[in-house]
Amino acid sequence: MPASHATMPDNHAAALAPATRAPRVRALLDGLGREWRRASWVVRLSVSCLLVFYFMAAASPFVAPYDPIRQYRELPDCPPMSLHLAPPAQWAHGFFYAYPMRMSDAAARIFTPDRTRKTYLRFFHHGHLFTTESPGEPYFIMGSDGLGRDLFSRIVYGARVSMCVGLIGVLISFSLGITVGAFSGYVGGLTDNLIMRWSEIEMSLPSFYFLLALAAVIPAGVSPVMTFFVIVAIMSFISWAGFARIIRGMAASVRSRPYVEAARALGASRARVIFLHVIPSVLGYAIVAATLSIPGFILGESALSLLGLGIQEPAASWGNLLAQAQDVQNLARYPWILIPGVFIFLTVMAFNFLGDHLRDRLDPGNLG
Amino acid sequence: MARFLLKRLLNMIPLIIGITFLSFLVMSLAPGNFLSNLKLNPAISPQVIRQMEAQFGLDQPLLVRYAKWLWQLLHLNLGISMSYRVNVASLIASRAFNTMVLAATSMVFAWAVAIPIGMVVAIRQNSIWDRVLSFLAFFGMSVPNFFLAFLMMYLALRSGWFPVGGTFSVYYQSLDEWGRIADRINHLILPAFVLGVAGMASLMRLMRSQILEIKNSEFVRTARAKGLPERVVIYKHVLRNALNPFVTLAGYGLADLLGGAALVEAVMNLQGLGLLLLDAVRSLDIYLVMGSVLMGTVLLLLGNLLADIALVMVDPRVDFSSLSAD
Amino acid sequence: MSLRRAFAMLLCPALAAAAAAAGCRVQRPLNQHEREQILYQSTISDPRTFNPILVTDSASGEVVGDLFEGLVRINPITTLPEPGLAERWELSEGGKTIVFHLRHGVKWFDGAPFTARDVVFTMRAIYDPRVPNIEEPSLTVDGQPLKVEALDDYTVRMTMPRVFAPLLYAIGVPIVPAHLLEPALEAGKFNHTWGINTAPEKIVGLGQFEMARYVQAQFVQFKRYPDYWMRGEKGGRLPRLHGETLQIVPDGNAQYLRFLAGQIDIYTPRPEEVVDLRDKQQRLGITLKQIGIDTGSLFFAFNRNLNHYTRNGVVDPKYRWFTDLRFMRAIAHAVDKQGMINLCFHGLAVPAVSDTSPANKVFHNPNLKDYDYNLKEAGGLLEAAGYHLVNGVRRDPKGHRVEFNLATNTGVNVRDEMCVIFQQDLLRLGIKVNYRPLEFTTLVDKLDSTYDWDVVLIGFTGGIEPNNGADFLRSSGTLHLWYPKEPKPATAWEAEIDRLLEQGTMVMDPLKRAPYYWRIQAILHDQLPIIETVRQVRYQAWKNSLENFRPTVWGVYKPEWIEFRPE
Repeated sequence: MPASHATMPDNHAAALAPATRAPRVRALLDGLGREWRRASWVVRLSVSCLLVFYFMAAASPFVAPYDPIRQYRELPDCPPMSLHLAPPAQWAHGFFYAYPMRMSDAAARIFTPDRTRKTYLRFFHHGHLFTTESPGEPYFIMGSDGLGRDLFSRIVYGARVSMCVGLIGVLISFSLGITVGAFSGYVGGLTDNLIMRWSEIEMSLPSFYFLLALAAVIPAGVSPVMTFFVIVAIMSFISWAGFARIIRGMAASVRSRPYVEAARALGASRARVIFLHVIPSVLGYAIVAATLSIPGFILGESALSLLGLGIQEPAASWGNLLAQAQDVQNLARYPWILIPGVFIFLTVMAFNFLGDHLRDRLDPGNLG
Repeated sequence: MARFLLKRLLNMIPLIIGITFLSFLVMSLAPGNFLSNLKLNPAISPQVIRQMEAQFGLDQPLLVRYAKWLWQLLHLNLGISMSYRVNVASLIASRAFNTMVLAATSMVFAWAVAIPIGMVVAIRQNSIWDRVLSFLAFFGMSVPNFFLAFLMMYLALRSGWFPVGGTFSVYYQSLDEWGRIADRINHLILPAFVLGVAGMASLMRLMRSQILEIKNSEFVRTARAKGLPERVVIYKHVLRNALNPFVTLAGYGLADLLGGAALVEAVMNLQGLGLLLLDAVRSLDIYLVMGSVLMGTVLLLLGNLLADIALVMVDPRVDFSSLSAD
Repeated sequence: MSLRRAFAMLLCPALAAAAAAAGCRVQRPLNQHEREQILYQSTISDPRTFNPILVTDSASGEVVGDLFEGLVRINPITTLPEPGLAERWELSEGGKTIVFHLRHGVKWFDGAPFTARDVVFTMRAIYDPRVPNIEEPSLTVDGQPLKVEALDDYTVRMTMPRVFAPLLYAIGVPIVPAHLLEPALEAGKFNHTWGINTAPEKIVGLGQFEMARYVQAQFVQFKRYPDYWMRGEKGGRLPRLHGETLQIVPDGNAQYLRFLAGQIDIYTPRPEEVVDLRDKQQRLGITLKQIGIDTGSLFFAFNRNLNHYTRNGVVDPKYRWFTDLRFMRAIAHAVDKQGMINLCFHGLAVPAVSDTSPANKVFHNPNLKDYDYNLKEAGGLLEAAGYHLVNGVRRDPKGHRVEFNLATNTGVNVRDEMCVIFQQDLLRLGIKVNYRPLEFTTLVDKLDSTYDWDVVLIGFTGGIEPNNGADFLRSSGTLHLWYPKEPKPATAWEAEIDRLLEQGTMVMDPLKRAPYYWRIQAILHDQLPIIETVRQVRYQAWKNSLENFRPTVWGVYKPEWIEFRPE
């Protein structure tokens, strides 16, 4: 048997045993541990990266040094501040310190450090991973935005939106797309015809218009969480149809393969054939396509915000933060506003390498 | 096949009616109408607004307006754009050529680069080339295309190699035949690159994964076992079987041809449909939007139909009976 | 082997592209703007019509602006009326009648003479109920049109129902040729004449430029009109430029890049670009000049429309807050104008005190004192008025949490930021603001039809003639944002504004009119139905080789004299 099936018995065993929680969890951990050791360094790095980002999202108030919406109005577009190692005598204050910044030219936003004073950095202070002694004198590790808000804190809070919108959106649209597509392609006939015509209707609808209408209907007082779910739902709703068509084409091709015909001949039910034979055969493509569509969701969310539909100011998302780099001027003068783009890039890479790895592991034909 | 074709073509009529009606309905959900744009201008009196409302027929109920639009459509008349006050068809036609040339160029560029690269990196999985090209592909995907457009404009400005936006030069008229073509191509390179990059990146990754998947499948192993040369195996067995999802994808391409990309068009100052339609949607210029919805729908349906036909031809395991009986 | 082949395949398109790129390094003509005396400018959108009477948007206005002219023009420096197509005019009956004496020898592009018939026709088109246009309201006095008669070929008499001072500012409407458009008006087809599909040579005006070519979404080209009526000193030919090209560049950044690349000669920089240009002035060979304070007004409006707040006979507490002067004063003290100036305008703006810009020299009231930004004072005012802070939450005297919705139109970065600043300051006062930008059409629908809004940040463009804002100020006006179309003035001060507006139009001398409008500004400032924010300081940048270019916030002074310095 292909080596890739090695984990299957464990999972089955764990699932079959009506045992207590602990052994089951241990089996799962063992399985994960084995997977971890088997994976290449690229995959390990990707997983670590994603874990860090999800931790950032889950523990934003702890990771972020400052309130992400607090405006330091005298420090707009402040560059990342450099950090200095304190001499041992001052270690009681903190190991590191920075010089507070002063705006020397308001129009050009040029800052000079005030070398007469020091702001000490404290770790695990006031319930933050790191922060300055007083929040009134901030240390901007990644600079500040146009309203003088700490960019790093905004990125940390933005992870909540962006790390979720990508994953949830992809999960919804692809599970919907793959099920419907596989069903449609496998069954064929009138059902296929109806489903495909419906997908065509959905694809032709001017989604932008739809969103515009929706933006107008949502009342102003709706909570951000609610809006967020609405966005994800809409984006998934819009994007599943195209994907379903692709899967359906592949499923139509699979249905005449010998192993599918064999399963049918053996009297397997339609659902069984679809879930055990048709879907696995298109899963490789689906996983890669899914991971590839994650950046689309993350960036698409910022387009929705521009319509007044997505995450609204003062809340942050990576897409919105990056959208501030739209201005050539801002870009040339304040290059650190591109940092959210680095986070998006890392997420995209990580998801894709993970997706590749999953595909390899799930592909029954892959002996490597 | 003729039966299949006829059925699908006939199917299109109710679909088009359904889609256009739904669009009409959705549009009427948006508050306000085109004339809302004028209402905050102190110089425009409410009487003027009312006159214009009557002139554009906006004072009538939804169903009446839709019926009128459909009736006009039967006479091959798409109606009048409210903001430009000219025929919608002529407005769309005036931009369609550029949009099509640009979209076709960027598509050809994306596919012509992505498919071979995808193959190469799949054959040499995990080689340094695979890693480097994958890295570039992910980079291409993470950059929003309007952003890339800015970077390219900046590059054009700094280097002077390319024009800073536009579809042709102001002195275009004074050039000879070849000069004009060269001028057009010169203006086309950067936008085609910008529009092609994201698609190219994900196409390449998809191609790579498809080839990897097929490369290890049983029938390819059988082919190898038969002693067929590797080239034949790759081109005849692997490639052909890997193409299935791309055929469907290419079908969408037809609709994309006239879709346009509003943000990039704005940044690079292209004379395209995307920006025209974005403006139309935002200003609720309803007939212009309907014209484009109609066009997009027809192209999408045709594209899907062509893709289905191509699927049958390319993929030996798919036939018409499996795709659509009724 | 297959690998190498595949690489060859891969390289082919790349090489082809590179070859194409190298091959079409077209010989780019050097910048010929100077030699050809052609001015390159940019605009953000396509024109919508070439018929000057039907223009409702700024892009079309820019295009037809140089093709047509009015009887009177406004001098952008003195902000006073000056002769245009009318050589001079006389007032009689205390200002109820104006007789315009037209210039002789002015010719349309097609050679036909310009006469009183054209003026009468233009006015008829404007008053025609079938022709929707933006000129009519300002040329209507108490709902009545002016009586326009041609006394002879070069004399026109206009009679008003009563003395109406704003007329001279409104009468500069572009005159259109009767001999070409009269049949269309008779046939009821005026609205479809001179659309953007019309051939450029068919657009017949009498201005300094003729339209030569229009390519949609690319550019409009103009060439000088050889028989233009205006002459320079010593009878020199005007305009001095030989042509003009208006490039259509819908994106602000792209416009800026084109200016940097030297493709356009004049550019209006945004605040963040001013700084950039200041550094690059020398290298680029450009002039950057501050031209004055923006003419418009950008303000927070508070809904005082009782209909919006009444649901099932219960009045929403917001109505009480927004009509409570003590509450509104506290809010006014919480608007951080300096912060907005620094953060949103890079310091290149000034606090706005009155709804009329200081650029409007005669009608701006300079004596108003601004509400200074002071959260402590704001908090004190709220406490004194019975709005107490309980556990960080501000509650009104009846115990309701103070919370309202704030909106502005989407896509304008500066407004977005201003709203966020306002939101945070109010949060520090314990007031919760739910901010959401809305699509422009949606926002207008709320302001104009459903009245379903609490607070909006919105901007109006300003004009010299204060009566043009009457629809906003008058209690019965449709643009009376805080309570449109009041059946009768809801407050005593609104009744007073109505009265002042009426009286302000009865006095002909601008200097004697001004006090009425100063009083209106003072009332708005004291009663706070709107809270003014800031006004941008405008800059203009142009190539050094351009001469006689004198921009102001009200337009270019003597544009006919602009030319490139001869080499």
